[in-house]
Amino acid sequence: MTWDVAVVGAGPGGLAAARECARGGMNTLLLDEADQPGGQIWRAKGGKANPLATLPANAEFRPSTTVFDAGPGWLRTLCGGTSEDVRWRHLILATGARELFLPFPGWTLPGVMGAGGLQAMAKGGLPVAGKRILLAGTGPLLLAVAAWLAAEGAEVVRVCEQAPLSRVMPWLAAIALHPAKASQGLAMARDLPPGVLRFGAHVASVEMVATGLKASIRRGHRSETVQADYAGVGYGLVPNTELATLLGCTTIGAPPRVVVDDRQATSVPEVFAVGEAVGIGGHECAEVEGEVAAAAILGEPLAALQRRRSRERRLADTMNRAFALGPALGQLPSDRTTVCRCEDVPWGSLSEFDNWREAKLQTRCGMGPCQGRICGAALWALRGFGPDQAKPPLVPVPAEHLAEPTEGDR
Amino acid sequence: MVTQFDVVVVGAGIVGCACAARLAREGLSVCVVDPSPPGSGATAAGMGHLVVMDDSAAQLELTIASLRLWLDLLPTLPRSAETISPGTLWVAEDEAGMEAVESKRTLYANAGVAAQTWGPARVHEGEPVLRPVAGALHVPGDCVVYPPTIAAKLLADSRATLVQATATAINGDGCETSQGLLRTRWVVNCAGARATDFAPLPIQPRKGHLAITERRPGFLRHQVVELGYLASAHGSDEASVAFNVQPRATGQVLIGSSREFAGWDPAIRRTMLAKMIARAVSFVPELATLHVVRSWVGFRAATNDHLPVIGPIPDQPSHIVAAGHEGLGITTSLATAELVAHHVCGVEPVISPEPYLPGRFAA
Ligand SMILES: Cc1cc2nc3c(=O)[nH]c(=O)nc-3n(C[C@H](O)[C@H](O)[C@H](O)COP(=O)(O)OP(=O)(O)OC[C@H]3O[C@@H](n4cnc5c(N)ncnc54)[C@H](O)[C@@H]3O)c2cc1C
Ligand SMILES: Cc1cc2nc3c(=O)[nH]c(=O)nc-3n(C[C@H](O)[C@H](O)[C@H](O)COP(=O)(O)OP(=O)(O)OC[C@H]3O[C@@H](n4cnc5c(N)ncnc54)[C@H](O)[C@@H]3O)c2cc1C
Repeated sequence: MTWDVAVVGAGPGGLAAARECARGGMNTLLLDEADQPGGQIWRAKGGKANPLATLPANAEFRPSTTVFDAGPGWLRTLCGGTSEDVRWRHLILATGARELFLPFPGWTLPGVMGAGGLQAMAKGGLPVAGKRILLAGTGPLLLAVAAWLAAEGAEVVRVCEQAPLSRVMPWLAAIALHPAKASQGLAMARDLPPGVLRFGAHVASVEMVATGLKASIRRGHRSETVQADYAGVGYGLVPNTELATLLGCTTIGAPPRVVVDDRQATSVPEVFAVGEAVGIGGHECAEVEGEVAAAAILGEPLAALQRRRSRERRLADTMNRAFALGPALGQLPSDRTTVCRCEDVPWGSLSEFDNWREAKLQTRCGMGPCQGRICGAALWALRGFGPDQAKPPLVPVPAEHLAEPTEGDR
Repeated sequence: MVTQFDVVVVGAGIVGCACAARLAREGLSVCVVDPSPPGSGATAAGMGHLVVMDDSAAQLELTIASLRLWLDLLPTLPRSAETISPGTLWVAEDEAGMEAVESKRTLYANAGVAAQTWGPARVHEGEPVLRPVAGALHVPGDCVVYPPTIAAKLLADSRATLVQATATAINGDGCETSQGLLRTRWVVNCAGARATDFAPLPIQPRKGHLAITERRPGFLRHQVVELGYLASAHGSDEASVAFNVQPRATGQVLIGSSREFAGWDPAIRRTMLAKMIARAVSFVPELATLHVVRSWVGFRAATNDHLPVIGPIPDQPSHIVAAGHEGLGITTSLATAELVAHHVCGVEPVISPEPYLPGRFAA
């Protein structure tokens, strides 16, 4: 069968899109590689009760389903050891974002992870109660994670926001006008232990000592040392654009995001993109974009949704300006700091290159199983170049799944 | 910038870089022009199998001479060259195949290339992941490398001037480029399948698919190729796949390969990729479980007689072509550079230059 609409990613954007498409009478398939719907935000403990509750009956949700190849009118999926084709008339990409890791001496030590990564580990069972935790990086996620960990009984010893307070002020002023966001923010501030938050500060290096991790923190010309059991260091989010790129959708920016018009349509016919994949904007933004894409496909009126969408995007722009990465971060890695963990490529070996293709070919950077999703994003952020191509398979899959004939090229 | 050189090399693939290195050794001032980074064309797409091949007497002679040069070069290369010496197993599926093994062995023996016939038990012992086969020819001298870094190293060692530009014409003054005229005595045209932009040569891009797996050190011991590969490589113009798997220094397995004439279409053809991987899995069943991390395509520069074009264009003695190496250009780059040095500065040729001259196409 051919689905009227296939939606990849069951976070807020994908769920909203699937719900609205199905409501409008479209046979809709919603896929997610995770075993639970809800995306980064609603998936785990404390998330929305049942994100699927509002899905009409003509929408099907397939969890644990990974898209590893795609082309015009088809997706190739892998679920529980079986691969199959999914045929679609309209495709909505709601592939979300991943955490941005920037290399610094010590970032690959055990106990050092992303901020979101640390939260996910804790949700997955890593005991955090009573543990000393350092959080560093940038963006609202950092505070959210800090507040959440503190509420779980962790001892949050320091939260380092790389952006200076002066740059964050306009965003604080902007969200103060949004009652829901403002109260969310206040709740977070309440959960945070007093005196741990530093603006304009970053972790310069981490080393392993007998009692755990020892982090050197820099704030302007001042520096301090902090000891912790875990360090969660995340520099915000990067859009997941690989599937879009494989389909030929135009992207822009460093790191890239999918280009869409005011109907959420990409440069490829019948392919739409919503949420973080088109630019980091948060879940309210993703939801309304999901609704815009659905309305565009259904031929329903768009103007009111588009106005809401513009409001959300303007706020997101304010946020992204507030938390833009400062130049000091590019100075953190030493020549010996690993940048590509898959292939063990040190930062110094990349200095002579100014383009991804040559850097990759000459050093193996980005050639490993993650295909540059981590090192490539860091290079986009720090050097202004990174992967701009995607090749099948989008994620490593056993060879047998590529040996089967597909919709591929009829 | 000095725009007067003894030689301008068009194309910084492995062939252009090898020519630059060889000519610089003769004391010539060399300029290499390429809009793309060194080693990023076909050189970045191929398997890097340094292999003796016997499709014709001239091919055998060229590959043997090259392998000899490689054996001198390999020990001087850094680790990034990813050199290993797994040898090649040419696998025969049946008795007819074993006859082919025997005649190949005789040919190799006569040419002084070490090669042994392996029966089924010996094959199983030597390459346990391979399904039962009738036998194989084991060629221990063949090697495997990672060509892009070698191209870059040859270029760096040559100290040639690298000009990032597209060559647009080769004429009596030198080489016209998007950055202006490069005055020179000789132009060496190493533009791969784009060599035809400068001279009417029967060269076409011949597309090939490859896929690479995760690291599984020790999984595969030899480069294993089906003997029918020759038929696939040269038999017809039809699209085809052949079983050809290669162990990498990283512990990965590189899976090849397909051949088709499809212009410069860079799309990965899923049916072709599937056929190619299915063929490989039919010989190495356990390969089915190895994760593939990436697939890609590349373009071989194919001539209609399967021999490269090396030498001066008949009515244009300063325009020397070194292109059209099809699926063997990594292997044959070094001997190609020797022949180019012969044509440019008269060094003693390592083998007879005759079979590769562009003049052979003159109707
Ligand atoms: C022996 C070997 C082993 C390899 N192992 C791995 C591995 O383990 N993992 C891995 O990920 N990759 C590996 N590679 C593959 C390599 O990284 C590239 O994927 C390969 O070179 C194919 O290129 P691509 O099309 O994927 O290039 P990409 O990096 O995707 O870039 C190609 C882009 O560059 C453009 N382009 C190419 N040539 C030119 C040109 N001359 N002028 C202008 N634009 C151009 C293309 O149009 C395209 O847009 C290996 C390669 C070799 C040779
Ligand atoms: C799938 C596949 C598998 C292969 N396996 C093997 C193998 O196992 N062993 C082996 O020996 N060989 C193998 N080959 C063949 C080998 O890769 C090629 O023969 C070899 O790389 C050719 O090198 P080259 O320098 O001639 O071409 P290229 O590497 O393509 O270099 C040509 C250069 O010319 C440049 N250029 C083009 N036009 C212009 C212009 N107008 N101005 C300036 N520069 C220009 C291009 O940008 C490019 O960099 C394989 C090839 C493929 C595709």
